[in-house]
Amino acid sequence: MFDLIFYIFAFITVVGAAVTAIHRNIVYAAFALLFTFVGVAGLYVMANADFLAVTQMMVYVGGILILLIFGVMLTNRIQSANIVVNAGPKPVVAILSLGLLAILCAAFFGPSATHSEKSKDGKTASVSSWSNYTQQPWAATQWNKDANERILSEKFGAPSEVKTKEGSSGTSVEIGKLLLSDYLLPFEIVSIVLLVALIGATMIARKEPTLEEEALSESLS
Amino acid sequence: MNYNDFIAVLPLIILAMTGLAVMMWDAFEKVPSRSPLLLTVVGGMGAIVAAVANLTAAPVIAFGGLFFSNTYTGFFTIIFSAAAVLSALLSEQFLKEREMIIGEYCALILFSVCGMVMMASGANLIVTFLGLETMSIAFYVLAGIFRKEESSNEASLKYFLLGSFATGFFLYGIALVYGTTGTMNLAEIRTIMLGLAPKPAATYSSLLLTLGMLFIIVGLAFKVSAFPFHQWAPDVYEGSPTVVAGFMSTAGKTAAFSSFILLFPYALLPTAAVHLGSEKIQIVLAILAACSMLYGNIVAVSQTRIKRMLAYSSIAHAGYMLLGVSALNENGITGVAIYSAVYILMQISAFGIVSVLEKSDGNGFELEDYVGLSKRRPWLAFLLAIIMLSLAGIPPFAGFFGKYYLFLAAINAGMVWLAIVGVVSSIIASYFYLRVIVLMYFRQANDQVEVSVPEKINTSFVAIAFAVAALLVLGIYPSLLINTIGYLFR
Repeated sequence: MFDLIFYIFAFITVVGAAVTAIHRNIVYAAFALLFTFVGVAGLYVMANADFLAVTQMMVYVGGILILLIFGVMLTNRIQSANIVVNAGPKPVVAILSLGLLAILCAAFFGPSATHSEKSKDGKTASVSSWSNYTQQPWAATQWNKDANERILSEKFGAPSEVKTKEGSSGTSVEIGKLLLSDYLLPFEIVSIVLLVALIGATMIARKEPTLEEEALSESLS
Repeated sequence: MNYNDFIAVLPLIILAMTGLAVMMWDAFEKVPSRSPLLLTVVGGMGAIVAAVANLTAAPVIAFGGLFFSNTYTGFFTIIFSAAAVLSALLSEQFLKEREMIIGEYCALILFSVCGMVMMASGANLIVTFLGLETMSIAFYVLAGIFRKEESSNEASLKYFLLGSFATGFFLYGIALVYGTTGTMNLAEIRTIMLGLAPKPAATYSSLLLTLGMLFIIVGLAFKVSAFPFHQWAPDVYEGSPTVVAGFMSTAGKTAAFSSFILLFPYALLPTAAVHLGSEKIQIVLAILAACSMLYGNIVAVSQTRIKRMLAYSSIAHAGYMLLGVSALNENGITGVAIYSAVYILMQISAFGIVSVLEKSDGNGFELEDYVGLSKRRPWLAFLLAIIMLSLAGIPPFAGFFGKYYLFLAAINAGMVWLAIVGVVSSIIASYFYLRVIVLMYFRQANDQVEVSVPEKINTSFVAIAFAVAALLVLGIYPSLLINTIGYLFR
């Protein structure tokens, strides 16, 4: 059942992305993007990343996509514009993209993805990374728990009361605590990134005052 | 956040606060003045002082493993802030002549330096990534700050689209590295790569990790405009305002190199790495370096516009520094640090002189315009000649010692062929650098009357003269810089 839902969401995501990339009408492409975003949100839910899923819905589906469609609506004649995808000679593009696909597949299915290494209790475990991804949601796999424990452990100066509970209902609480304790610095830095983006956007979009307007504002002040 | 954390990020705080102060000042000022530039200079100086204070303090990893504060980060903070101060001084005249917005310009310069400092000191891939984004977004806007000029808009858009794509590669690389190692903390990645800590058995895949490293290399190689990812550089540097191009091609590149060093020789490929593919990655880096050096210098030979020539030669300089990274040894790190400092001085002042000589209608970039410059502007011609000799790597000037250390590092790492490629490409480079000197001194302009213009002592001239003096001093007493760096990186 779990696998089935996973494949459904994966299918929606990939098909949506393909239509977005290939379709020549920008409105159709924008709506196909909607399916990709929703599919990705579904994959996040499957990976126990509920906070990320909600963020994905709110920011991408609710914000960016709506903006995009408004942009299409308010721009004259863009609807009829024929988008020609021209990324160079076709054989080269095909070789490059298929090669990338082959490398990624090799990384997931290939022999080097299978390891037999000693686990902590001395037993030899032979695990393929692919089987691990499909059998269990990511949050429950061993490395994820390890990573959580490492992040939360004392050696990084984390407050000891922050702990992941087994089978806890959500990640938002932990994310919130981590953001204001361990990851305070990135949290603050993001404000600088946003400020720069804001200044840049206003600077580019601002209307340059004409000479008459300048004279008017001077006479008013 | 305790006292040590606060001290560690003090340069960052000073830069960001100055940026905010510039914006506030600009908002409440009735008549536009040049005080934002003054504030930028003061802020940059303040960051330098704070970084010097950090150099002497004990090295810490602040914020629970997120932010390095040690001599390495202090050194890079100093050179980035110095680059900001130099470009603020250089842009005073330039912006005034073209009646451009000064407030936002200064704020963006300061915030981009914030991003660079984060890149040089990020002890966690998240901080490195955020630093890269801060710097890049500021650069996208700075490239398009000439809003009325088509070439500037084109440069900005081109840089933005390609740059976001490269950032995507970088982010995917981070995701793969996190997926395989289970951590984004560079110190932890280092221990895993050295085999001191157990690999997360379930997901550790050496192929995925190699792929992650390659993606990170693609992202960073774009930012330094190394060979196959260089196509944006000539157009962007030519289209954006000259002072901005000078700042982007120096401070931006060296910032990317500072995190290159943290990511590769420090974390992902320490010398005794047990990871299987590490030699292959080293070869990839070496090939990128060799191609960038050859390509940049060979194409620069055929350029007739000086800005484009400098842009192509900056690809070659990225190759020299990439050579130091690919050596993966201590000499390489020292070499990159020395070359970063020297390169910032050379290239910023070269672009500075171009910005002084260009006309406000967008002409004055042809190499032909430099014919007989020694008669018209004897002082500027003299300074430009020294800069060109230093860029070519002629011994008495500082550029030589930077290259010497980088090539030495390659030889120590057993890559003699790479050092040979480096030397050959430097010889090619000396052709077009020396050609500028020949044009300025030994060619007569036939159609114009040679009138010597007395040099006005303005901030641009002071900045250029300071940079050239530093090049001379560092060239004659290289031990000054080398000993300091040797002491810093012990």
